[in-house]
Amino acid sequence: MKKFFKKGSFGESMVSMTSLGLAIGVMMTVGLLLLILVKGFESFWPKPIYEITLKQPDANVSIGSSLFGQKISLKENKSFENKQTEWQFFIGNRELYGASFKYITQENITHLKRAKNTINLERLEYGRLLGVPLYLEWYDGKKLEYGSADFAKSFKEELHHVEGLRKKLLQIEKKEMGRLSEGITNNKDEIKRLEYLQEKEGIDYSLQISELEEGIKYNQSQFLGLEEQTAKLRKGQHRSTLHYALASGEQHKIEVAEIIRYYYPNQMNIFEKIGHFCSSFWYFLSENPREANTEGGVFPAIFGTFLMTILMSILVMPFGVIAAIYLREYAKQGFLVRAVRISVNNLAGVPSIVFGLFGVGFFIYGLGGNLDDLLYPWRSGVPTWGKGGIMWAALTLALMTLPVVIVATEEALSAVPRGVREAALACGASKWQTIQRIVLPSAAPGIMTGLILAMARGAGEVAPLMLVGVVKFAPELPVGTEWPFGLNQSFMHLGFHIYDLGFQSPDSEAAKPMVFATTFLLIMLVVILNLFAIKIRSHLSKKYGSSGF
Amino acid sequence: MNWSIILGGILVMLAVFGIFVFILGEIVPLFKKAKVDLNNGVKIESLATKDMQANPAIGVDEWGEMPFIYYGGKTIRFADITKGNQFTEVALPITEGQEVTSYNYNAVLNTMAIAQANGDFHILKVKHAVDFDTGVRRLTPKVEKVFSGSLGDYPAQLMAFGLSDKEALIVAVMEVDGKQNVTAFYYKQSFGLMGGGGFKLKESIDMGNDLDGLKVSSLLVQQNAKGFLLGTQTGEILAFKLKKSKLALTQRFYAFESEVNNGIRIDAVLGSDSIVVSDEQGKQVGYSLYKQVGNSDRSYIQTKTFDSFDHNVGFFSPSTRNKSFITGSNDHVVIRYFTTEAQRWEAKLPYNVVATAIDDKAYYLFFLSDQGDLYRYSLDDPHPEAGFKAFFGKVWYEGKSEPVYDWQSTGGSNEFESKLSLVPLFFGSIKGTFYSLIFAIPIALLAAIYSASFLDPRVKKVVKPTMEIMASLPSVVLGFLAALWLAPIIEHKVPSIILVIIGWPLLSIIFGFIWFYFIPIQIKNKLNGWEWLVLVPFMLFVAWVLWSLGGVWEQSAFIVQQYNILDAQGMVVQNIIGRHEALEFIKMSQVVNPDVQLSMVHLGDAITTTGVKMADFSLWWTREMGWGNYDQRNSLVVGFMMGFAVIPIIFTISEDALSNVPTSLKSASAALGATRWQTVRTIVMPIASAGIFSAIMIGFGRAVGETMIVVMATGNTPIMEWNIFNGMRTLSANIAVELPEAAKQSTHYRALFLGAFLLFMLTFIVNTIAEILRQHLRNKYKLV
Repeated sequence: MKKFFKKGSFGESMVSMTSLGLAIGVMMTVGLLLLILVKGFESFWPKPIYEITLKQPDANVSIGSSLFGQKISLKENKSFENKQTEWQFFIGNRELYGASFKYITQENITHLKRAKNTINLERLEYGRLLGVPLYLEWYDGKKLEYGSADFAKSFKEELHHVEGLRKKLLQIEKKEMGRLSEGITNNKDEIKRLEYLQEKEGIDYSLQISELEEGIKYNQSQFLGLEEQTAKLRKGQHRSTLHYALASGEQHKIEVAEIIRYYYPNQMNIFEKIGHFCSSFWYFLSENPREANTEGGVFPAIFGTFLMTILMSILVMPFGVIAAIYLREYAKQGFLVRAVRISVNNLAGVPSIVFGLFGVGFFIYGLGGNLDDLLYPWRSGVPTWGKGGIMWAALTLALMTLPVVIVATEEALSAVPRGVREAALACGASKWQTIQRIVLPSAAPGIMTGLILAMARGAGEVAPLMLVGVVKFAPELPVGTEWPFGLNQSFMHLGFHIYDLGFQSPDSEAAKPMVFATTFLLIMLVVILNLFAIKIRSHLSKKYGSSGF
Repeated sequence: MNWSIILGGILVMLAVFGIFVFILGEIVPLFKKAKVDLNNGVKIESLATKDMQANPAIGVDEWGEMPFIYYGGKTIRFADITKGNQFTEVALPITEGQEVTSYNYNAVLNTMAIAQANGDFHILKVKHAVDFDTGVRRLTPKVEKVFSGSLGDYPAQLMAFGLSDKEALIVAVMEVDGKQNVTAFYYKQSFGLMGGGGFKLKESIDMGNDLDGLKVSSLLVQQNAKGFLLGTQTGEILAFKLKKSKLALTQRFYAFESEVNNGIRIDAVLGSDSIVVSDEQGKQVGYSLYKQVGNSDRSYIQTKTFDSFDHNVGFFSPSTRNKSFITGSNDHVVIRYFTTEAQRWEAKLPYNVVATAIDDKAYYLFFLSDQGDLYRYSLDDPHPEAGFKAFFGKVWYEGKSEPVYDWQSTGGSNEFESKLSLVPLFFGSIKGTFYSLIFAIPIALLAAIYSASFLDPRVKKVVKPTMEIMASLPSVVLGFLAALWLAPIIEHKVPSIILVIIGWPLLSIIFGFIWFYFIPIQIKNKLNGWEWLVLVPFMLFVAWVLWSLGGVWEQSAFIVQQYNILDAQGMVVQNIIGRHEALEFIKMSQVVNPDVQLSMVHLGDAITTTGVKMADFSLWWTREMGWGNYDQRNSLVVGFMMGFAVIPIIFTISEDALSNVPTSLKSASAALGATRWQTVRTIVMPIASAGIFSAIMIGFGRAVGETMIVVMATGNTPIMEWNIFNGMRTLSANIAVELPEAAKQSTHYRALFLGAFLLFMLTFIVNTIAEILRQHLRNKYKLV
């Protein structure tokens, strides 16, 4: 034992222990990123469909003794009586089976084989469908068997037709009908305003009011016309049905109008799988969420995150930089500035939720409430600015990330060599000219680093946003062509989307792939932003040498 | 331009401090006392005539505009505050030609009970009908009969009532042949298809037997008609409870230690669970119903003591909004809050008060002077339930068996007593931080030491950014993974985790030992700074082995058995899983029903195993050992996931501190023959210690304020236990969860701001200490 300490082997042991610490740290990071990568990847990759034959027939008649399923996970289940291994399968067909997922014990499975013709159908309602397609049937009585040469083509055509109509419908509903109903709302608001003015100022506005009411009536009649049009289009969607069979042999049918996408996972080769992966990923990026966010895409969340971060950057950048310039270049360096600097540094450590609470109290209730009273006194009780919105969220996060920008800018400013400034001053430049022409350009990359770090922090933060304007579902994007340009609208956010899907979803199992996919997206966004910042910084430190800590 | 920069800079600084000021501004009202504007009162002269009885009943509508008075006549007199001394007399729908012998007004129910000389009684609702016909609010006073009945042939001296939608309890004290008699009348609302069919007498119960010649001086029926209390001349209180249409004497107690001669006052605060008892000397105490362990009946216990008055307590009126009440003696009036015992307001008035009232919105106070004048003052007390004691002290709430720290901000009814102690939340924050730091600090510091002192610089260039990426992982992602991915895994693998936590450091030391003794120096030198290349695979292998061994360990050590509970005859009464649970069952059954002849002499003898057993850590922990709960989302999960947030911060800052130790010192140490570890231990670490300490402080600050991980990965229950296998509710999570349901400017809303303020101050102090240390360190290096 003595030898152990004397000859320094203790020290070596300690060294190996310290390396363990670093290894754990790195493994944690890499492991977590890999986990998210794999899980995110999995949620888009087509999984084979198995036909599962059960030993004991299920109580559900539709299942009987066999069903189709995609493997999700395997887990060991302990209870007081015995130990079992259970498979979790995705079985789809929620309207028939009652749930989209099912645990089946290993013992209960007699047979597991890949069924070649099985299809995975994404529908407008009830999640996905797993089954074997039998034939397409048109309302005029025409039938087309699965397996016949034309089937794939006709099916695609039918889907295309339906999709075209669906797009048209969406166009009418969102654009034209949206415009009309917006007109109605605006007119109603205007009427309220005039009535308010009438009471307040005693001027008679009844002429204008009746004009506006006419406008509302006109819009309403237009609206009815459009409704007829959409009803016609809807009817046109119902042209054909797809008949399919469950594993138990039970036959069902589904309107083609109900189908969004489909694929035959068991017939795909690797390239088709990659193709499917890419198209699913694109679908995920570009579509609106459906079915309580468990299906569809996350486009509004991406857009909301993006817009909020941009707004935040626009707000935080000038203020942060001005504050830093003031602190570094103008303020008299003394106790006060040191105290301010410490406070700013500390502000970076204040919990984000505190900023959120401040945002609610000050921006929403304080500023927003007063703005409403001032600008829209006739909208009594219906808040325009006095509620969560993207502007308040951006302001709150700007305040939160302000110290990041200030600290980074200050450091960048202090790294600009003294000689350069003195040279500029010696050439007769004023202080502001020196700062503007010489100091800021050479500090620009450093300031950029700060901004990128702030953006990464802002994009990943959820807690304060939950309080100041993020909602679980807002298909309306927070933009507009008229004042206030949608700035007061609540919005969706990737981070909150994760929280909502994982914790408030009615079917958390079904939401899991979506959560992992969203997580993957958010992590990519944040990591890429950070890598950028790190790259710029290492580039800078090469240029100017280390600026210490 | 210069000026605009300076102006902008100063503005930003002000904004930064504005946050602090704003939060402070939101919490200050919580600590303010009630304000009553005595200078701008409204006086209604001689509302009561001179011949009024000792205890006139006064009440008011919900806007505080139309007070009324009743002192035993055929009419109720209403006054309109806006019109001055014009009174409206509203006739009462009572039996004609009979004198009123007793009456009782309940402000919470807006209902009056009147007993007449022939034994009739009437339950009357006082209403203020509102209409907006003229565009302005106009009140019309009305008195409606709820129901009537008879108390028998004798006039009541004292009567009181309780009334709910379904039932009513009327208790009257009558003199029968020179002897006091107490009778309770229990009415039930009969429900037909068309709604309430009126109250029908169900039972009339003569309580004479229980009285035993005691002289009753006061009477209080619980507002919900579930029981009543009698106060006797000597100060004893008898509590009766209604159980299945039967009244039973459940408790007899003296409210004060010293005996009284002239009886006591019993008054109720809002709800039916708490009473205030006052004696003739001005002493005042509060009693609440509470549940004893093992006893299903609730009984009264003294939970509050209020300041004494100089004289007899003459009036009392409860708020209909919260647990506060106005009371006092003669010209001395106070507003008190029951839950916190706080004196919200106190004043000496220039007149003696006979009766008080408060409107439903708690905007106005009414005092009736002994001259018959009524005074109205505006009351401003938006946060009566707040105060230092409510937030930080132990409070004995209704129904609890002892004073506790508890957070439960909202309840189902407006009789709910909000529990606003921030202590459990603060505790939760500290608990979460503690468990995350004991996990994060060792890893972060070891990693920082290795990275700063031993690692090859080329590797460091990759490792450091990796750790910084770790810092940028959004906490919502960490929280989601913790709750939905990690927690289910950990649930069944606790022994494996324990093994890995103990095994890894031990084996890494052994690895170092082997490395030192058995690896030739040539290889060692070549791998200097690259040891991890060998270590990491070795450690992964070790982890795999330990992880698998955990299962084996669980099979042998953490076994839960099923036990038979035997009675004295050795017959099996019940099967229970877990030794602790079995013992608890025996204890409980003995308390609840002492007749159960379980063999209690040796607890162990009473149970035998059935032979059914299973190995499971969480069951073993909870049922076999009884060491507390095991929640799937627990502190262990939080500690681990919060590591992702804290490790990189501690790592980066302490790594900087360690690498900034001047090379000259390290070289000098090496030149003197110190090994690399000796150099680190004796030179580098002491010099960088301040930096390391400040790193830990900043890590602490981050962990304390972390929100999403805690919201998602714990059950968010405000419990105060250190048990690592259950959750907590932190200050930050509390804000995130409750703010959306807190009404603007309410006590709840401001209490959340107070929580935020605590967090703000905590992190601010910790960060300032860290920052000062850092500056100190910076100066020290300048000298070297």
